[in-house]
Amino acid sequence: MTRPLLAIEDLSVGFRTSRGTVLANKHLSLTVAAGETLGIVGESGSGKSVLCRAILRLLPSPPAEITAKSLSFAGHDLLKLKPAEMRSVRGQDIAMVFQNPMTSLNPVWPIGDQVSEGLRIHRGLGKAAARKAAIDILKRVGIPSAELRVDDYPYQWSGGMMQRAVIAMAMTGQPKLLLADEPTTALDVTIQDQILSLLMELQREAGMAIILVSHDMSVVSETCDRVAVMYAGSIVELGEAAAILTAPKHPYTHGLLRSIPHLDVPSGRLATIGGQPPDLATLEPGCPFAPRCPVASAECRTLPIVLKALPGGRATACHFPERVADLDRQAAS
Amino acid sequence: MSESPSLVVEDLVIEFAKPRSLADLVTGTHPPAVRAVDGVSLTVENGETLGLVGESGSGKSTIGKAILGLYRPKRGTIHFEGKAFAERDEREQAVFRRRMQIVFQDPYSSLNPRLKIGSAIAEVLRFHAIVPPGEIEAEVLRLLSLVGLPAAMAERRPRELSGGQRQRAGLARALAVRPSFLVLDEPVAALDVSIQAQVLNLLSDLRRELGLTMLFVAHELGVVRHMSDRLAVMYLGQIMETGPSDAVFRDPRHPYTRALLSAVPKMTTVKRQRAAVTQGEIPSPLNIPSGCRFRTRCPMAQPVCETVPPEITVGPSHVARCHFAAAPVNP
Repeated sequence: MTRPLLAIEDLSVGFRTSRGTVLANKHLSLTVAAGETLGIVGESGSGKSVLCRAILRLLPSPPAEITAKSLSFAGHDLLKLKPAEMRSVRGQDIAMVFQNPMTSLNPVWPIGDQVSEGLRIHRGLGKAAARKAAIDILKRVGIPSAELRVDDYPYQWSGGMMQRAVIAMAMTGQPKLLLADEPTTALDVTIQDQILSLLMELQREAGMAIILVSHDMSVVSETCDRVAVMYAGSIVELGEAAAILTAPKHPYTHGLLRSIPHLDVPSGRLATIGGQPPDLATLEPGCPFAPRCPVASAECRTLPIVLKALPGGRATACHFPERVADLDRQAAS
Repeated sequence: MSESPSLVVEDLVIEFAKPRSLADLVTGTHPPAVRAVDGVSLTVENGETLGLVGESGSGKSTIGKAILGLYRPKRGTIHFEGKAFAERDEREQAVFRRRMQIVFQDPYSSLNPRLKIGSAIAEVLRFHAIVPPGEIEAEVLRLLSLVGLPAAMAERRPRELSGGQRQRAGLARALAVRPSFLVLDEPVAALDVSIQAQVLNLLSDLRRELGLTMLFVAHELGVVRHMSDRLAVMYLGQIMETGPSDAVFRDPRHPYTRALLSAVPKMTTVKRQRAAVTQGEIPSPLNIPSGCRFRTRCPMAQPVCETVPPEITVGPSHVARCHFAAAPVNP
């Protein structure tokens, strides 16, 4: 087996607050192979975005405290890099696309210049050459008459076009890994469809790996090879996308999948997960999902969770994954 | 249905004027107005939920607000419980405002951050004299339990509540005046999936228990399908297709509806290989295409589409604004 592009081992991210240290990421371990797409799903506050920012070391410290056995990317431990070395990794080896393109673009700077900047830094192009290359990249990401619009300002573009521009900026460094944090959440469904297809085309052309953070299971199912499900800062389930989405081995994944209203199923009562996600500052020692879990027993509230390997390259943090099957039987009866 | 419908909107046009620039003032001209809603007619029967879907800028929220009398129509009429808003005198308008309520996407911006949840609801009860002053406290607790919030929430401020709890509090406040009609403007768009399901179930329960009539405005098709008896699909200020939800979802007749449905990501075990289902973006409402306004993005557009498209009836109460609505769908 070849070495994975990104290998995270036992990563924890804490934030120092007045209520003590809050762990937003707890003992995460995962790998991303070159060219593959890993989906990270979970609800607000589950730690998905913190994980992306920790990989790029974008979290200011303090208040963030990052610890890990290793955070290795293409053979380098990112945690050991000097700030200058880390700067050359950002954008060049690992690029990021955020949810809201409005906040990723400088509002008082023409879009073409913002794309050119990346080309001048990452590819060392001169001013004129960078401008020409910027137009080409903007064309590639689907901006019509890019040569006429290259001097536009962000406010002149729609949300979908701005997100294309942000993707263009991310592509300037020809990254090996793209972190896409809810890249289509702010967009309309037809535009989301266009952006997802664009990302997948770019991935095929450039052979880059993608970590796609999303709250939408369907988006993940259409785009990802593997999935990590996060809850309260922990990975609770990890494995091949198709396997997890058809036969989850964690009650949380199971509940999430069942609470989505589907297009092809007529209305009825939606299955819900009772309660709310926990407050990370006051987590009990056991499984964080236990208070909301329909199959939890006394041990679940005290035994700390670990991600255990299952056959088929899967892993679950549930103490009793066999109980998930009971949930289906309950639902059927 | 023998009963008269709850809401009848006919040929509604709503325009927003752009501010006049100095040059406009000098030359005495007016800039073109943006037509956000362009000739919309719809009916909501008593106890029915009508879903209004469409992309940003389609005019769906504008319709929701116009129905409440928050915008003055340029043309057309809105009749609620048999009467137009403009025909009511001041006292009747106060009654009208009680009969129809709106719940917005982000309850954080519609709840006063300094007011405890209980006080926010009590204020409404007091102002509209819904219950005698001595019974206000009990009524607040009844409303909180109606939306599934524990009584202790009455003492909390909005920032101490989670998103789902805030949406429930917003609902409790809207229900305090005992409305018959609720406009729900993207009520679950800001919520996580597991919380969204809780709020949708609550809305279904309330509709049944209180016999509410609803206009459900949302962009997410799965959610709309789940909640609505009938559906209206909007594009650039017009209704492109309307009909019973099941019929529209099972057999969409307008290419825009079909595009919307195919663009929704599906649960699948196979990674997508396909290209995007539509090209381009929704045109500016300042520059609406002639004829059929969807033709610039339509995969089946013909020369005839540059002229005004007819309305085609394709089934009982199922109408699509497309020349080829009755034609079979290419697989």
